[in-house]
Amino acid sequence: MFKKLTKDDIKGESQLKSSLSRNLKQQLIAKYPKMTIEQLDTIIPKKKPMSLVKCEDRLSLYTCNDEILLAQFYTDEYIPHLKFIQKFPRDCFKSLQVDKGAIKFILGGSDIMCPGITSAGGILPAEDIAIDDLIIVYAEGKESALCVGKLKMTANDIKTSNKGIAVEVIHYLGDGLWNMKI
Amino acid sequence: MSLVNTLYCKVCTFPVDFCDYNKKATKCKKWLSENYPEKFQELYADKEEIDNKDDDSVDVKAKKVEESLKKMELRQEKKEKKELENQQNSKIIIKTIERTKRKRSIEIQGLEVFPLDLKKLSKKFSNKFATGCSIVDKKLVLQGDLADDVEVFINKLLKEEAGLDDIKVEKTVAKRKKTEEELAADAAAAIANGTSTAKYVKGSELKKE
Repeated sequence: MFKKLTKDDIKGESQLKSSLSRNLKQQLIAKYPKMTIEQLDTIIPKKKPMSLVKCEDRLSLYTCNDEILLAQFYTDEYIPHLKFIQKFPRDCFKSLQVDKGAIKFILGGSDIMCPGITSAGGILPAEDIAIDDLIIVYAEGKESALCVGKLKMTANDIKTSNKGIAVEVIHYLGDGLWNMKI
Repeated sequence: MSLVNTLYCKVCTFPVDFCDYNKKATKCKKWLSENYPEKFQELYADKEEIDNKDDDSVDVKAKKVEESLKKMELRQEKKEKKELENQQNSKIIIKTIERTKRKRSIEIQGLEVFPLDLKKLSKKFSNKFATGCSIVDKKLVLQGDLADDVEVFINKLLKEEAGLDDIKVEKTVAKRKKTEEELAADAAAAIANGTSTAKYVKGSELKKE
């Protein structure tokens, strides 16, 4: 989704009100209960105002200290930037793991197919995950998150049918959003 | 609970554990071994051991992936080499254009080959030389007769930002063409008026020869 994002897509930048950034932090904590306010405060200091960068196609990026933290289409769910995700321990987010073979394709921008998750290297979490959930994808033998995607099949379907697209990749290492500098 | 500190590769911007999936993997490895030898050991030590033992134990699938990665890297290297050559061979042309009698502007051509942002450059130029600077189809147009200063500045810039040395910078003056046109116009006017100015045209032609 962010594959072709470039600097030319930026339309304008404005500072975010501190009340809004406080609000944002609370929303994040509500969504990811394992995050703490101290952690968020170190990433987004109270003294430092966040800024909102507006881009084409109703995309807004929330940044702080020249680092992109969150992206948002229209008023949908916040999509965390991978650098933001990589600051938190793995159990903060709903996540799954793919095997080694899938890494190359994901970094090329393709979606994740079922066999990549069900094979020996992949881990499908036992906790209930539903369709359209935002999910963070890790890889076999690697520490850092690899991409952010949206689940397209239920956990059961992935296990039983084992065919087709399981996760639609939104943001991956090396895409336009990753390479964007503000 | 504290934050996780992830180490990012300076070469490819990826977290270091994903370096081998990048197109610049060998460069990344070199950078890592120079700057963070401990991390390098951690990531690549056991891998080398496996390679040394015997090739049969490694999965065929993993091997395939590795091979394709190597191919990708090679391709990328070739591409970069070509680009570098292209940059080395290209010329920057600084053209001085005379606008009115003593006012000149300069035009800088051939900057688009280098990894520089023209928009930012124009801002830099206008700040540095305190003049207007604009982009006209991938050329930078600076107001003011600054050819010599700009030449020095560009050389410095290329060294600092792109790490390139010995880029040819050529200076030309586009003044003559315009005066000739003017002379032709004068001559046309002279023929209409009388003989006195027509001689002047002949004289100028002689000077040229």
